[in-house]
Amino acid sequence: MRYIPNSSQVQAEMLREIGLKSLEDLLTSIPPEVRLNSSLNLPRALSEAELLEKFKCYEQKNASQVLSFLGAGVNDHYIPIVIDALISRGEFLTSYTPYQAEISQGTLQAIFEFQTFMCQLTGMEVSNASMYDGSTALAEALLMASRISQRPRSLIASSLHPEYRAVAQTYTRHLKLQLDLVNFQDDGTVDFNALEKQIGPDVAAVVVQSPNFFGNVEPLKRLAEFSHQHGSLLVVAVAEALSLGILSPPGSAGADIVCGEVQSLGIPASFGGPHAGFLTTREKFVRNLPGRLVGQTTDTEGQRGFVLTLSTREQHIRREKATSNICTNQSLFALVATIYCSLMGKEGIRQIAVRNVFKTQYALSELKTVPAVRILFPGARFNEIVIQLAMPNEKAATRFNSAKIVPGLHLGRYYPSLKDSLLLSFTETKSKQDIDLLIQTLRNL
Amino acid sequence: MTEDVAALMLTNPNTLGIFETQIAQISQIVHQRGGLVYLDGANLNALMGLARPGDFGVDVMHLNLHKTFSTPHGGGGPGAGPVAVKKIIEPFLPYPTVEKDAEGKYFFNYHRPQSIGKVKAFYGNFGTLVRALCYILANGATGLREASCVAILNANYIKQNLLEVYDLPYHEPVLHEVVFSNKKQSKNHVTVMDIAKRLMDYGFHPPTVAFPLIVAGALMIEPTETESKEELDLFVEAMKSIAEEAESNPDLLLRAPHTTRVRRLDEVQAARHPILRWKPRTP
Amino acid sequence: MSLLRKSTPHVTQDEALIFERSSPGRSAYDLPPLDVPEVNLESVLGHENVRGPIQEFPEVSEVDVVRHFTRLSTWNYSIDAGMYPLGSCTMKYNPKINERVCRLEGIASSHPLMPEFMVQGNLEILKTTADCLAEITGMDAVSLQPSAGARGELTGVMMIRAYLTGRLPTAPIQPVR
Repeated sequence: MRYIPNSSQVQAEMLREIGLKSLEDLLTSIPPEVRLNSSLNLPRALSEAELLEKFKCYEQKNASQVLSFLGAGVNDHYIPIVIDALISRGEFLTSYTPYQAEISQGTLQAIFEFQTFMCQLTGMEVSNASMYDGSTALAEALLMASRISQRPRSLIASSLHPEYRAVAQTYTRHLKLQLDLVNFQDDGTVDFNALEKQIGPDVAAVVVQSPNFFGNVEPLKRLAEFSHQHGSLLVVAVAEALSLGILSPPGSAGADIVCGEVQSLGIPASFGGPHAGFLTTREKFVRNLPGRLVGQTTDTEGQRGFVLTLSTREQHIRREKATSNICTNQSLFALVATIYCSLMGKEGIRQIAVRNVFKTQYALSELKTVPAVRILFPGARFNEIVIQLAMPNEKAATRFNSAKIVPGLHLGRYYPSLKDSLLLSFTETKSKQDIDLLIQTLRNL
Repeated sequence: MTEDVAALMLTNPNTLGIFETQIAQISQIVHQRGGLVYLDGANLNALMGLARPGDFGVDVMHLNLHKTFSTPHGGGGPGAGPVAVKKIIEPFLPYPTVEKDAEGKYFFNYHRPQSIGKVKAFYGNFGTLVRALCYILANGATGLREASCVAILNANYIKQNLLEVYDLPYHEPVLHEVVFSNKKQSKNHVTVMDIAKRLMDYGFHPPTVAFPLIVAGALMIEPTETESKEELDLFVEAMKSIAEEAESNPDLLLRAPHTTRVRRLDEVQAARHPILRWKPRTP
Repeated sequence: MSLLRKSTPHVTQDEALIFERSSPGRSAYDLPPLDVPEVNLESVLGHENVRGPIQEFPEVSEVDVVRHFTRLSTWNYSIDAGMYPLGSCTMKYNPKINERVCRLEGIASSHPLMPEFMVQGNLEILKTTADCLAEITGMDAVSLQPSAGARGELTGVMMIRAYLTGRLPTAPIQPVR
């Protein structure tokens, strides 16, 4: 096997040195009754050339040359070539969690930079070192809000990503934490009348996504004021981190916890993962923050260096009192987001975000001219548009399939009341020609 | 084991690298009292093609693909932690599951009324799963078995070569890893952390130290199958040399590492006055 | 110093934080020409929703970025550089072919919400991986969903609870296929 350096001759030599005859002599502690007597039923070992062929074959079983307008929390953005070149360096790719700080300064400094970028984007004061993904970041944010306020219930906007909500529900099911859904109103944003009715002194947090699942920007200032009036925290999830290049940061609106997903910042869709989540908050809540944190310090000679810090919050130090059961972050993809933000820089992050706005507004103005299309939620939006078709989705789907276009997400999958509606996403990767082709197909339905 | 116990959670081989020889009987006792057996299969590197948890009574287990199945750690993630279960637990798996219909088409099955729910958006860390599958296919049955056998050989080679220099708290045969302690070195106030830091000067990442907790001053060594005899010999040599230094010049260890980019970092300062982000200098 | 056959101290380069390397006017991005009309941001997004430039973001060139992260990387130990004898962590070599196949365009770029008939290759990968792991462990069924070991363990314990209590939680969302 090519991944095993020691040849059978060397193995024999090593066995001799430790006074054994065969590999079998090393296995005597495994009782015969639990030993596997046959060979595992797996395909034979493949050579490297065969492996490449095999996976190209899987690749070919996926449709290619499809024009897709899918977004819904996994967004199609251009990924600069520099990113993969840098994260492919073995020193980043194949290193362990940076417990031994003296030989992990590269990872540690990069995470420190990530934490800084996340604070700058969200307008918050502290950020952890990243989380598994947006869905688990939201679940952790809910638990955190409940720990801070010592209250047992949270109100979650139904316009928050359905996958995030599902994960949060699994997480909190056996804890004394109740999650109540708050409906959206006609413009797609959270319904304040419903919120008024559902709020109470037992509510830990009001939880919204902005831009929400439908792409609409939530009135964060008003939500923050409302939440704080009732002694609740405002938790804001951001599934499209690039929106923060142009949209007012939730921190300046008064959010207490901002969490979300950084997939937009240079991470491939990869069929839903791995991506990376983030979790930011106010300085005063830092000891309630779950997950890894990197802090600046000095070494014995006074040089600046970085270490994992405040680990008494973590499960490996104080198991019962830990803020979370998670053991690690998502370092490599926090690094991706850090490189992306560095490449874009002050000008670029804004320019790309603005480019997304231009594309979406062009698509919106064109969609308005198609008779069979109704725009569902007016108002400020980033990247996404919900449309209702004059015909059942299934029928439309057949036409789109033959044109090799995936027009967007069938919202009936998550929202029965939006059965014949589609969620479409327009990013900087879509040319005018792409958008025109979509419009043409819609016109011909 | 009483009837109010839900499950026994264990690691096998355990954290000392020792196979629980009575595992079949242990499982039987747990099952007889209505409990389930949970295996922490994070590290399966000793067992591939040699013994299967499902055959020694395990009902539920998880695997870390970033360990046994070679996906890169990336400086602390992403990984993947699939769960494997017996038939009786299958209805409770997270939804959706992936299945194949009668016509050979694959589909996601969302109709899982007893599912515990979703534990991650979408279907898992797909990119990591692709890497793990590639590893499995590259090895095949014989390759995986060989990987486990050589991992065990390498661990035993280190054990045998360090036996005289470091204290070995348990003498039972080990599989893929071996746990020593710093008992012989501790008389000069040399901690396992000092030994760890000194190893960096020798060009090695340290072993796991101060874990497992059942051994005071533990040095937990797992070489894996992908190290050559030459690299193992260098490691042995370094460990022996450090043991010698602990006798002759303990101060060298207490101030280690000496050659790394930064010297020992002040963790107390980091926690007492947290600086968690860069801020521009105010003019 | 005594026996140091594996290593020799060598120079690494100093490197400031990326923010400290910032220099006005530098950039490392470009965009294709705009092919749709510009719009007034304040009028489409609302005045209160538009932020100004993020002043603290760095201004650096592509070369700066590549040098910066390459220098940082040299401060890390890694399995590609040498042995990692971390007990219970199984730091084995990470084959390069794995990195190649997961980056194949049609695999890496596929969206999780694509219609199932368009992603049969991905589904086959998932099914095959689950089947292989079931065979290796001798178990009957596998879920690939948990993100990491800690999450896998939590998932396992929740399933044990569901099995033993017989309480059957209903799935929170029931998407249609």
